Parts: sequence; C-alpha cells; structure tokens
Amino acid sequence: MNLFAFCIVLLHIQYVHSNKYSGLRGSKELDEDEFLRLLKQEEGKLFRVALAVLGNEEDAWDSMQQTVERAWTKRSTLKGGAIAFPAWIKRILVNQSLNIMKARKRVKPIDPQEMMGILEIPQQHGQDITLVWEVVRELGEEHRKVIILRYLGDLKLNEIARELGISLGTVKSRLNTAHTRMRQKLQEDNLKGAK
Amino acid sequence: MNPAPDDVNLWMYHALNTWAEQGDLPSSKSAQLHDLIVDLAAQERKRCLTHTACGFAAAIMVFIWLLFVSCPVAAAAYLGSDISQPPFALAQALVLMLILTCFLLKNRGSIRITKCFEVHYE
Repeated sequence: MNLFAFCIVLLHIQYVHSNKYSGLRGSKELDEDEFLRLLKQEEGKLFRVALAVLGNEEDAWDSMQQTVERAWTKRSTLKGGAIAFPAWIKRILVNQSLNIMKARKRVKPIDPQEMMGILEIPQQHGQDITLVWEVVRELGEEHRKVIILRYLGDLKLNEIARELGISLGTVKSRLNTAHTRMRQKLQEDNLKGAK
Repeated sequence: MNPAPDDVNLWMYHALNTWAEQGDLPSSKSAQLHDLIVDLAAQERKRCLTHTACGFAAAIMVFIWLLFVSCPVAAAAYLGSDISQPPFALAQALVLMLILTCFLLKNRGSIRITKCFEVHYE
C-alpha cells in the first residue's frame, strides 16, 4: 500500500516536471533576451497595426501591453522560433485589439479624417498610403475595419465576418467596393501624373 | 508611377504593410514594454524557484515518512524496540530506493537542460 502511494507521488512529480519543461524538449522556448530582441524589431509595426485597427493611441497602447504580456506567458506555444515570431505576435495583437474593440462598444465611430491626423505618413511611400487612407475616409468606418483586418491583420474573409458579426457576403462586398474605389483613385492619380 | 489597377488587392496590401513596417514606437513606450518583460521574467523565475524548492522539500518529507512507516527496520531503530526483519519489508525498502534512484536519474537530463538552455535559430 505504501509502495503504491510512493509510486503515485513520484508519478505526480514526474507529470508536473514533464509538463513544465515540455516546451524545452520539443521546440526551445524563447528566453528573455531573445524575446526582447524580437519584440524590439516588431514593436513599431505592431503599434501601427493596433492603431489602425482601434483608431486611437490610448487603446492601441492598451492592446500593445496586453499583447506583450500574453505573448510572454504563452511563448511556449510558439512553433518555429524567431521566423514565426512576427506573424504569431501580430495574430495575438489583432485578437487583443478585436477584444478591446468589442469591449469598448464605441458609440461614436472613428472619423477617418481624424485617423489621417493620428497616423503619421512617412515621406517614402507616403503617396501610396495617402491614397489608401483617402479611400478609407470616403468609404467610412465599416469599410475601414474590413480593409484593416484584411490587409494589416492578415485575417481570412470568414474570420473577418465572424469577428465583426457580419456575413461573408458583406465582407466581400465591402472589399470589392474598396477595390473599385481604389482603382478609380489610382486611375485619377495616374492621369494627374501624366498631365 | 502607380501599379496597374488590376493589382489593386496586392497593391493595397503592400501599401498598408509598408506603412506599418515604417512605424517606430516612442522610446518611452519601448522602455515600458522592456520593463514589463523584465518584471514578468523575474516573477517567473521566482515562481519556478519556489515550486522547485517546495517540490524537493515535499519529496524528501514523503520519502522519510514512507521509509519510517513502511520499513519495520527503520521504525524499530527509531522506536528503540527489537522487531525482526521480515524479508518483505527489506524488499519493499529496496524497491523504494530503486524507484527513487531511477526517478532522479531520469530527470537529471531535463534539469540540466533548464540550467543552460539557449535559443539558436538557423
């Protein structure tokens, strides 16, 4: 009986031990320095993605902090190491941002014009992104969400539909509208350039 | 010169992602994130150390307790009485020692990994 109890205790210790270090045996867990180095490379991009999804700096910063905390505690689930890190943490960020978006339940939708002011447009590629934001401004908040989640959040169409609580057809329709308007905008821009 | 309008899907993806990649977090916020990770790592190390210490203490206590309770020889020595040594009790004590030795040997490799694990990505 005592022998049996002793074996149970040892098995329990073994179970706890193997669970704790399972990440180390299969794929090595990121250590503090490596995590900080990878985060440093991605933080600027992540903040802009959060800013584009949420539309204001305060919420974007909340999302960033929650993302970093979650990424650190869940780092054992990262498969593929440093190569997979950018996509993995971006996905966490998008999920956190969507959670914040749902929790806030904004009464007043973000004005795309306001977005243009918040988002600094760099000199290089400035024209391209200005055109995109102009289209977003014209189309409004609902289209903005779809465009940002599709192109910056890298979500699939059905995932966007699920997250925003709209039908897949609506997502496709909104993207199609954005594409059509973008084509027109580009043609106008090319014509201006030709003149 | 803008790309062909037919490639608008790819073009929008490229324009938005190029814009995002050029983003830079203010140094104060970057430092806050750095501090957050350092704090979380310190908490994790502390928790890990506490768990390990508690685990070892518990294991030793259980082992001593079982040894005294299950082994008549040890119990007799402890109580100062003269109890004969049944072969079964000796065999049981031997098995207990064997299991504990195997357990420690088996986990020795994992303990060594935790001491010096590093990340090398090719």
